[in-house]
Amino acid sequence: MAFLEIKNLKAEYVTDEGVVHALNQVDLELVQGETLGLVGETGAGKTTLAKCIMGLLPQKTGKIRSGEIYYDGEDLLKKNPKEMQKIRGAHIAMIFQDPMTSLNPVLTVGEQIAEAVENHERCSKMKAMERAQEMLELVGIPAARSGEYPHQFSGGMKQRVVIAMALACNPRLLIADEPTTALDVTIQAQVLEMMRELKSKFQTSLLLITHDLGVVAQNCDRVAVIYAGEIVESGTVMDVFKRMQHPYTQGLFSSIPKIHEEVKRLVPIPGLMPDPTSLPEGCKFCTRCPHADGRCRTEEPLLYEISPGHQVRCFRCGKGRCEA
Amino acid sequence: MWRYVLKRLILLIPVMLGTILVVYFIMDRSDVDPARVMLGEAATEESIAELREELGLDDPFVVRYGRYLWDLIHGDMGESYTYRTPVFDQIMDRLPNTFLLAGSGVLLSILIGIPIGVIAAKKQYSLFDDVSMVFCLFGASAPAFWVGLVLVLVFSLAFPIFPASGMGKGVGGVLRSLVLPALTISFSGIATAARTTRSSMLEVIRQDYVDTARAKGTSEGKVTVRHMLRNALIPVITAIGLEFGVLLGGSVLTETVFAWPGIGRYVIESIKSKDIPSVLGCVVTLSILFTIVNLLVDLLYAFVDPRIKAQYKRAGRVRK
Repeated sequence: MAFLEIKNLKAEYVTDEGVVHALNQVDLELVQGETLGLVGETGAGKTTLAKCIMGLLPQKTGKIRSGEIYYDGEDLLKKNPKEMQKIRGAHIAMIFQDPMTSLNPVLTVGEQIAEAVENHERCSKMKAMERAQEMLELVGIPAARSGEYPHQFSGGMKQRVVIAMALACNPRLLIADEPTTALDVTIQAQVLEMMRELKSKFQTSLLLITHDLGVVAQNCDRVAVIYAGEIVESGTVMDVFKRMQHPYTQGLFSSIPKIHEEVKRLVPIPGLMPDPTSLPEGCKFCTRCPHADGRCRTEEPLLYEISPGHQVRCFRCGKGRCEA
Repeated sequence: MWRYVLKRLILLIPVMLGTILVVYFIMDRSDVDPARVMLGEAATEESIAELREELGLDDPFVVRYGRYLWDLIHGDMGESYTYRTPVFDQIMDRLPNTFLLAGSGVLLSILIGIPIGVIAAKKQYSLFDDVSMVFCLFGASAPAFWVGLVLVLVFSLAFPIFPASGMGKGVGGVLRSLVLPALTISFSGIATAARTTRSSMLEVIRQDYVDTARAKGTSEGKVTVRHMLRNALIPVITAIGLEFGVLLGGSVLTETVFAWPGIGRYVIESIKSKDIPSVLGCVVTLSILFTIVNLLVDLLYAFVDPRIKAQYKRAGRVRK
């Protein structure tokens, strides 16, 4: 049973230059304990989606136009700020992209982790700090370093601290927004390995946002591909990696090098992602799609289920037109 | 850390020597003859020459400067020509009053200025933001003597709530007479504090760690104070620290308008009556205070920002 269900979510940023349609049609489900990878290129709306779930869209510019985000059957978008505050950290926690900037430079790492505990549990400062030190040990940092400040840690260590902070209250859902993008490759592997361990230890569900398909293959149960604010394909890792149907997903995979084949030149997807202030009518991918026809330019495709759990937003996968 | 403080204190010595030298030199170049001032208009040339001899005024500049320094180290700033008492005592009598005034001015700047800045930044482009920034522009540009006179007109003449000048007796009296000068003196301080806080907050407000704090369920109030304000505080401390230093010596106008018995007024009086030792004493005292306040501000950074503390520790380490 899905405990997080996002239905028909539309969000936009209202700026002086125009309305940025960041999320246009997002439907997602997340089952307890599973890891869902959310893949897409820069500007596709990955971070916006995460902020919508957390209720952290910028107050002035960010607007959710329609849709629902059900958590345990309750719509998060209908909750008031106080209620959301109780959910953030305790039920849903988030790890941000850049560990260099996501820790407060003037507070010790211990204080920052303890704050998460104090926010949600009635306990003394001492108890909270003890818990913070336990968490530090869990992510492989000696408890004795809890009195040190972020500038005394390396990038990988900082990301460990951020993870410790996110997991301090044992949340049911952890949203990790490109948690390893800012780290170098060896540290990436360590951090991902650790997240996998902690995830199974705490039985947390994970929404892993990334643009790295390799990271998805190693860590996720299911994948959703997002393009211009729409989920264009979703399914199990096997479905999406081996039997991808959407031309964008196919383009993504042909633009990364393969280890078994000798390829002289990678095949990039032609063109650029459409400007989110003026998206094309019809299918958002029609401007770059090799298969686009007249219908794609006028009519928006729906998500078609081509096999149980494998959904594709493309007319070619509509009734009777699916190619094997 | 303490090693760093010691280093800074030692560095103060050449700074003080230089300052005193400049001030002493300027006073020496003035066309005032101390002997003539002391003896009055009716004195004969002979008695003046005699007194000059006695005071050692005909010695070379370096000798007199050296003598002044030697006396200064022993807490002797010479004798005031007007009061015929040691300058040091005169200054010590007035210094607490100046501190009281400057201190309450700074306190008001902090208590009023910082909250205004915080709210203006959090509600950027709102009506509150616009109104407070216009007020700040006004506060920063209105001259102290004018603000003082307006306050006197309103609160002493139109509505006689507070005394217009002087310093009252007893705690209540002092406090009552402190209100108007303190308000006057804090006017530009509030403006500076509010503007600095606002711009510094705006830089911090969109930092990632602010979202991190919110993401762990921290209340907005705590996010504002603990995560935003603390990081935004360094420029504010600089601005307020400078303000305090300036107020110590620069409350001349306010002290004059309100006849507040502080150092600022003493300097003006002494200049008018050509009382060179007093002027010299005041300027030396104020410059010492100014450098000490600056040092304190620098040290305060270390308590707000651990990165600066680490720097200080490194700077204090003895090179091997």
